[in-house]
Amino acid sequence: MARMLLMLILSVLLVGACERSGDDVAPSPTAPAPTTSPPPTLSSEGFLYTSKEGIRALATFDGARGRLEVENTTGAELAAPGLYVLDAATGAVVEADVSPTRPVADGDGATFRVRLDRPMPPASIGLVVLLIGDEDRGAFLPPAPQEEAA
Amino acid sequence: MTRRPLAAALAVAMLALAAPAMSQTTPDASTRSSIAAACRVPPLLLERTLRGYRPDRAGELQLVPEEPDFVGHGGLPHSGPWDYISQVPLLWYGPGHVPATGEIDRRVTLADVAPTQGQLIGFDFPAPDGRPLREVLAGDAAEPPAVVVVVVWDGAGTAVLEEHADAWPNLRQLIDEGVYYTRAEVGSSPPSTAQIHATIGTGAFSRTHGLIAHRFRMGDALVDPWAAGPRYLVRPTLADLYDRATGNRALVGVSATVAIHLGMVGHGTMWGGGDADLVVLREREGAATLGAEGDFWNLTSNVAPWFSFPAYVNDLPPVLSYAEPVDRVDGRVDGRWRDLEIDSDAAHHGFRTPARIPYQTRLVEELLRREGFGRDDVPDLLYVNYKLIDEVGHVYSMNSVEMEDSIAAEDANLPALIDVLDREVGEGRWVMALTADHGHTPDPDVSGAAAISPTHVGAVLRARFDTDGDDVSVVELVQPTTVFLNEAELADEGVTVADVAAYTMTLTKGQLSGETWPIPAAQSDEPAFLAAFPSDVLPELPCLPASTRG
Repeated sequence: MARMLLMLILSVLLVGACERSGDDVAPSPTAPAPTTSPPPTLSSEGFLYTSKEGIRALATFDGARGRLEVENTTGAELAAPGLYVLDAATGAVVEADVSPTRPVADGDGATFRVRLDRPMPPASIGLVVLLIGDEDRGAFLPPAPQEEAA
Repeated sequence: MTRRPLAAALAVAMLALAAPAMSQTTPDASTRSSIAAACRVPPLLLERTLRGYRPDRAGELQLVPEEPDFVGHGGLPHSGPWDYISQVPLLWYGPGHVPATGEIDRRVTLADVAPTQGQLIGFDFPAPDGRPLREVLAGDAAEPPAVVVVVVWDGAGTAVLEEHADAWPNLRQLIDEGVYYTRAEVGSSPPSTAQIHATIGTGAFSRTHGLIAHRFRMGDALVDPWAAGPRYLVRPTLADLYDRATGNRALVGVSATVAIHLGMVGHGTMWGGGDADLVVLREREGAATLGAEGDFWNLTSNVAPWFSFPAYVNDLPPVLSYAEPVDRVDGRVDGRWRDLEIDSDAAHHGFRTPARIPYQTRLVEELLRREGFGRDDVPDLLYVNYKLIDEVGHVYSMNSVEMEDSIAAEDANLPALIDVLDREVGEGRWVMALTADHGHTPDPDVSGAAAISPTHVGAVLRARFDTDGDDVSVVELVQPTTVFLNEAELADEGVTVADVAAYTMTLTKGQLSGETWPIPAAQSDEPAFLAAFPSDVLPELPCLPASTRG
């Protein structure tokens, strides 16, 4: 009976905490709550990146050239932004030179020139990934389909 | 001198010799001390840890208890580099396609799954860390299989199966009829669900595909791997590339329960040129936990934009219609599975019992039939995660009679699944890879392990290092293998990650004993950790296997 009670309690109290993650344990008292990004909002203008922390970035490409616009409302300076592209057919990483190399102040916005290692027509782009300094911040959302953009 | 201190001393000596090649400066005393601590860990375990480490997303401090000790409280975790969690079954079975070779005794990883699938269907998938498994590809089939199915028995690592060696006769029989790797392992650490499912899908270890844990850094935030849909998965899966290469004529489908399984399939329409692959989950919308299963099949809002959900699966017979054999398993017909009332909230009205296995297989059958898997000349991909064994491991432990029941139920389902594939796809027209994403932690009452409380780890570190009187803690989050530290606050306190590591090495088990499994008094004065070291020393450790060092 005692075992049954223990297991019932564990089932109710622990499955959520344990099965959820395998390696998760209860956050320590000062741990920040898990965060999620806002629901996806696509842009007809290009690849859009938004984060709950206050980064908004838009990347557009024309062959090997492109443009990266970054707005920073995170409350802190952002290290110099960058990006890389994954080839849609092969998954290969296509590096990008983003210039000028400079940070974006809090409350500020900046536009950067992008030069890809090779031309990437829109249909050949699998994923565009944002870099802030050396940190990989995950993928931009793809452009909105034409019918949605209309 | 014991073996481990000797190894650490040798590591320091090796470091001194290797230093000129590693960098232009000789490591300082603090770094040497950190490296010596790290090199107390066996090289293979360090290799797994390195494969799961990337500096932009990882915690700053690595924790490695001495096996079988572990960091966890409340429920049993499965997080660490040890063999008992890392080693998994890997069976390839497909009459007419996979030769009946039996056991293969060589080390392979789950990064090898995707490139092997690719070769089977005639697609050259460039897996970053995996290689096609030659033994699987040694068959002489004239045509590729119409469907390749990857089946994951979640949490059913090799040690879990060995603990219940008589509970899986069907799987054992299939070993001789296919190719079975006796030394398969997941490949990286920590080995939990999200990262290993992504390794299966991408052929990459977690440091490369990006989902390194169930909580990782994204700038200043700590995020869950699928909180933003597939955005944090930064490498393509086989399904992403193959489906696009076929003009999306290939069918790609997933039957699982929570988003952390979706690394098998990838990005759906987020991938340029990709389509909305079929995905069936059963996840509670807005849940605070990653594995909170819901009451019906669905897609939650974070992943729904990128995949398609076949709503008809909710019209199938309910899970309780499969409960009768579960009720009978202990010889009594009393509405219970062992001690658990089946039609109760605690049992999720049958879903947290073995009844969910045939219930899910019926769903797979419906998916195959309605969507037409295997009906044209373009091979299709199907991924199935059966999660019961993992849940039971967390709640009852891998040593429990409930685990025995669960493995037996999974095993009994194997012939049923094969029948479904034969019926819906056709005999000799499919290949199945069966594996697990990790093992489980033995009950400390069985193993004698000390369960180190992460809450107490955090509390002790705060007590030692949070001294400046502000309300910002140096400790952000303690996980079983790592601690996320606030480096700016550490700097304000005038200490470094290496200082925290050095102090952590002085902690005893008695200081970190939790409530669920109190550490016996006899172990109280023993060191809590085999090693605690700054994560950023990992890539250049001189004690890593030579093939691993950068």
